[in-house]
Amino acid sequence: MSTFSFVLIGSGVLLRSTINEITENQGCIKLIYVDNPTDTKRYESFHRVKQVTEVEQDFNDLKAIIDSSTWLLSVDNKKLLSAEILSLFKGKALNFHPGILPNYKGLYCYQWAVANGEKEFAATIHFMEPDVDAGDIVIERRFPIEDKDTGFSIYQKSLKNGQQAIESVLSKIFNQVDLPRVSQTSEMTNIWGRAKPYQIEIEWDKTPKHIINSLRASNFYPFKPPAFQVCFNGIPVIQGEKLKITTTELPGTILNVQGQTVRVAVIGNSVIEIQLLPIES
Amino acid sequence: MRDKIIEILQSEFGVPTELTSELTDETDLLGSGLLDSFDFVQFLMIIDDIYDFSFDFSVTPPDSLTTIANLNSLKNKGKGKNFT
Repeated sequence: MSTFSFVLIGSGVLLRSTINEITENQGCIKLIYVDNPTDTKRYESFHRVKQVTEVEQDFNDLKAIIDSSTWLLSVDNKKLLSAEILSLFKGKALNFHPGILPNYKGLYCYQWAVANGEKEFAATIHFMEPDVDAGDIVIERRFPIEDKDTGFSIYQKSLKNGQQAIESVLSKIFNQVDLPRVSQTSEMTNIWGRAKPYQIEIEWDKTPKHIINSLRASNFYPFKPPAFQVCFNGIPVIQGEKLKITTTELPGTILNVQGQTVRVAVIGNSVIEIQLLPIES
Repeated sequence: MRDKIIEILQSEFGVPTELTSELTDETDLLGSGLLDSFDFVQFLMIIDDIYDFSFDFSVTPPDSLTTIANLNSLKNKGKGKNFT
């Protein structure tokens, strides 16, 4: 019989793999907070399931069910938990965060990292504190951001790496190995989120690399990007590439339009070709 | 693979039997509304876990993976490892 129990808060494939991992290790799942109907349906037959929106009202309920062996695991959870709730777990509260800390705190860091031209990203698990993505780092699985990567592919890779990071941390917990703690010391702290405004027009006076990075970051096709949508004259752009041709036209000059494909001059005599989202008839 | 996909749709996403019984290899799982965008990404990652496709959305965009036929074609190209 395992001596460890868990309260989970989160969603999606990471929550699923966390539950599987705990179950395989005979851990006890006391309560799961979810934020969508699919996860509710998926787990309510086997576990006690509540909605994420209820967690802050559940202080007494949580106090009654948790003990000194209970860990709080937050996986793909967007809700910030209060100091009062976190205090119940006496330091045994961990959060999965897609992003390198402390430079990439907050939401949708996978999209911002690609837009900023970063060369690597990470799936990070850290101890939780009441502030956004604060707390000592337990594990950081870094992986490269390649030129072909999009915001969506980095999101996918962070989930895959996140699964492995969670597996590793749970293994330590079940084997009663102390979790490593590395403090977040960098002075470069940024909190990211949804851009305002959400729709951003391409800035043709920027370098081709800057433009391409923002287009890659915004490519979540066939879905809407979470942080910002790059547009051309108000129409969402799916993707873009720098062509191996040159032009003497001024940056921003439209050179050619064919269906949803547009060629535009950019600085350095370069040409970028963009694909616009088809307009539904 | 088709049977496994139907099993996943029913057990993981609560898709009712009356809908999965109408599923053809060409049914667009996303476009038909069978899965929403959030569920579809999860669905692909579950398929990836089971069959070890090692999907990379920068190489294989998700919109090219919306039908059983498309997923089967990956299998036929030998992209996955754990086929049942």
